[in-house]
Amino acid sequence: MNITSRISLVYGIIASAVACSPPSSAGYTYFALEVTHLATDGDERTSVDECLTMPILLGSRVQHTFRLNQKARLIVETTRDEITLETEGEVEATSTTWSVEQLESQGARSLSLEAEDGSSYELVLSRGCS
Amino acid sequence: MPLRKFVPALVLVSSLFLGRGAHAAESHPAHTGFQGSLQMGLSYPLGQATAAPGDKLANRYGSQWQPFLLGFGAKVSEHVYVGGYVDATFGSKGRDTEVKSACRDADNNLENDIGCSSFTVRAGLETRYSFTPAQVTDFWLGYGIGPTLASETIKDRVIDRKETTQVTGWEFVRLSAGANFRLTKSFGFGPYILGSLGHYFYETTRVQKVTVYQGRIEDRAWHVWMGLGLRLVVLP
Repeated sequence: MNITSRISLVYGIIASAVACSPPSSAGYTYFALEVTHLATDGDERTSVDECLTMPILLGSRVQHTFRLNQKARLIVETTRDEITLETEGEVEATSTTWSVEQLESQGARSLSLEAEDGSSYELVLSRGCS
Repeated sequence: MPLRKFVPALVLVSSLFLGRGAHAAESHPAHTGFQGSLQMGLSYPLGQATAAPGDKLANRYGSQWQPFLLGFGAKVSEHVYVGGYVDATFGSKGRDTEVKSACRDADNNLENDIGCSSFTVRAGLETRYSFTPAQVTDFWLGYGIGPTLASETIKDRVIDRKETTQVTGWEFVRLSAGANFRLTKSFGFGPYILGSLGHYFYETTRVQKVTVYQGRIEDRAWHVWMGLGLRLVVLP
């Protein structure tokens, strides 16, 4: 094998290694948030279906606001370590915090909330988004 | 450049000018009126960004390169200077292991897919006292106060996501000291050290360019930025 062939071979190996390497990402954590409204007549309807990307920086905080109905809101605040759920309006008041570690080990957590009109909301937070 | 590598260079340059000062044949009269300065150096974070566990300032921000710190004001007497300052510093990520891990570009596609950076900005008022304003070598002490901002960013080009967290606050005690070698009537030059003590009061998080959180920091804590470098003075 002459020198030109050897150089071509080395370049070929490097080029194929580079081309085959998938780009790396920062490795974000995702949680799926689903809220189902259970009406008094038994009717079920999905109120919220969101994929939450957890922040990655120390000190980062992300606030999401979801409307459950005309008079009730769900506020979800995420840091890289925990998720806090709070409600506002005509729905059972709650302030619940789940750690990311807890959610990752258990896979999912759920919470039931009663609305003032007698209906209820079933909230499920699960690891990963489909 | 790590701080410890910078110090010997600073000592060497300072000693050269100290030598010149000691052997200078003449000194220039003390100046009053306009004075400007340009400082360049390094700054290092100490203390806590907030009182939250693990939220050390050095975990958020790495050592910062300070390409400029501008001072402008007036010597109201031969000994006393009063003026304003503005400075910006730039650096990398801090020591937090999770962020370090996220910022690591683990592939070998020869592209930087994940960028992590930090910067700080300050502005305010300061006063300085010169001990020997008419001498070739003039030692001085300074005090300043002003608002400050610090920011950290991670930019993931693979999923096109940019996350930025900023804190703003006040530096209540900004103490500085240094020597000024008055080489000519128009220019002086010398080393300085700086320590600024402050609190961050507000935090903002942006994803892409959208503000996703803005609020007061409830668990505040003291932080210090320590700096050192070289200072060029106009009309010393």
